[in-house]
Amino acid sequence: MSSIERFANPTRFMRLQATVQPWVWMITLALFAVGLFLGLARAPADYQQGETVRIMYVHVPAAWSALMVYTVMAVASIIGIVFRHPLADIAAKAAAPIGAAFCFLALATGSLWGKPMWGTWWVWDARLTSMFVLLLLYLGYIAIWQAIDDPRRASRIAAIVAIVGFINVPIVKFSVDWWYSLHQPASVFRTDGPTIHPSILTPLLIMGLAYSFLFLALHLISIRSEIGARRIRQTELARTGALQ
Amino acid sequence: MRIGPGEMKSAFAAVISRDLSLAVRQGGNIGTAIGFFLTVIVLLPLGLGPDQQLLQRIAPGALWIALLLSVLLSADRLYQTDHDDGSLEIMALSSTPLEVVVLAKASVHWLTSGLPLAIAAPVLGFLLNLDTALILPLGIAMVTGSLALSLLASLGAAITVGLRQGGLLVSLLVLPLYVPVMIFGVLASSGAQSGIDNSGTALIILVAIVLAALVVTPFASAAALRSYMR
Amino acid sequence: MDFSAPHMGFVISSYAVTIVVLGALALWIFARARSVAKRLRQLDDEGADRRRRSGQATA
Repeated sequence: MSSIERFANPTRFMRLQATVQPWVWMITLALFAVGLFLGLARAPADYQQGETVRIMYVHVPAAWSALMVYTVMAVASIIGIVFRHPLADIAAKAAAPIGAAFCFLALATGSLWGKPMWGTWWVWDARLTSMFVLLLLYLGYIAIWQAIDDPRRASRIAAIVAIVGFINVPIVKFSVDWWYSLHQPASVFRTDGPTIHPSILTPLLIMGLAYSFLFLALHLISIRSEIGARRIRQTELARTGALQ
Repeated sequence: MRIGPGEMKSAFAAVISRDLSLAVRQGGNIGTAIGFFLTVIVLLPLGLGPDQQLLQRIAPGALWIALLLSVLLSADRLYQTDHDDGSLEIMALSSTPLEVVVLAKASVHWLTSGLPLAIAAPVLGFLLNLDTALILPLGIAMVTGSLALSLLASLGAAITVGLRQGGLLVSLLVLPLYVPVMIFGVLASSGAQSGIDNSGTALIILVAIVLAALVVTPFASAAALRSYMR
Repeated sequence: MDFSAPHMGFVISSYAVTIVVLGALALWIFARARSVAKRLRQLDDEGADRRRRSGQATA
């Protein structure tokens, strides 16, 4: 049977995932504990932003991870489309909802930071605009998977969407930066602000790592579910075929 | 089977002349695009008020938004009839690479929607009190930029060709791709309106975006069309 | 951390929204993993049943 051969690799993945998963969770929790302790208890309030600076510890890692997850998705899509590797297709599909959640959080916390700093909930700031476009890319990718029934066809079309989107991301970043610098209002608080102090940078980096490991933990489980879901689909298709 | 560049060119011309004559005979697409364009331009002053200065300030951006929406509106069915009646499959099986067919169909779409709109836009600009000095740059930027719009829209149409709810999805998929074209298109058409005159640089970047679209979209669209046929 | 500082509400809400969204995401992923595992076990049992029955039929 060719399907056993096709899933030979996913089977090895399942075994690896089962051994690695508890360790990934432990590292994730430890990183979150350290990052939150340093960020909330140790780091001082900013002399300009006050306590509002603490929003950064959940905002910046979310934005970093959203970009990282999209990169993972695009690389997995390229591997899937070039080598026809089923595990790569599954990995790309499983990453998308997690990345979209990070992207949404980057926008939501950015907006919560912007209200006290800028005075409004939403500003068409260069970074927020780029993040918003990234969220649209995620939603388009997820919508493609929802719209196409056959998983093999869906994976090819979705891979094209992911790769074209990945080419688009730096172009959007470049054009939005250019656009914003031309239209920049005079009285706006600068986003990048003063240079980052190490007492802020260390928790920021640890939180970034914590988000990456959280992604890894959730991604591994999602991949496992997706492999299982495809097995279910195949078995059910084979049964209905056998009944006829 | 490999074919030479000469035959490829004649296949390209054949698809163009077939689709052009179809478009001219039906006349629907060109009419729809211009009608929609006109609708947006007329609705804008009615919604924003007749302030001449305000209209002059927003005119290039408004014309670009209208162009973008009209191109998108006429694009989502680009491959639909050929997909439904099977002629796309015949084209894919022929010795002509599907990429060439895609390029030809996108060009026809540009000739029947982007180009007429780019020519009509400066004229309709009078309704928005467009600065007369901007007529030429706006026309140039729109002729160039609409080529990228057609290519990207054809990619969206190819990605959703086999889907029932394709039209809805096309907008979501194409919107992020339109962002750079929109930004540099408007900058190239606005002259010194936003302070410094960057329109020359913006036009060069717009041309670069068109070239990038010209390289990426035929391959991506052809790959998408092939996976729907399998 | 000074809870009486201005804008503290925004800080708390941004942590709250993060917890809610990431929590919902994790719960959704766990629920899916559980339902897939359950269905797989079910199919396995049914398959074993069927093999046993067809084995009896041929024997």
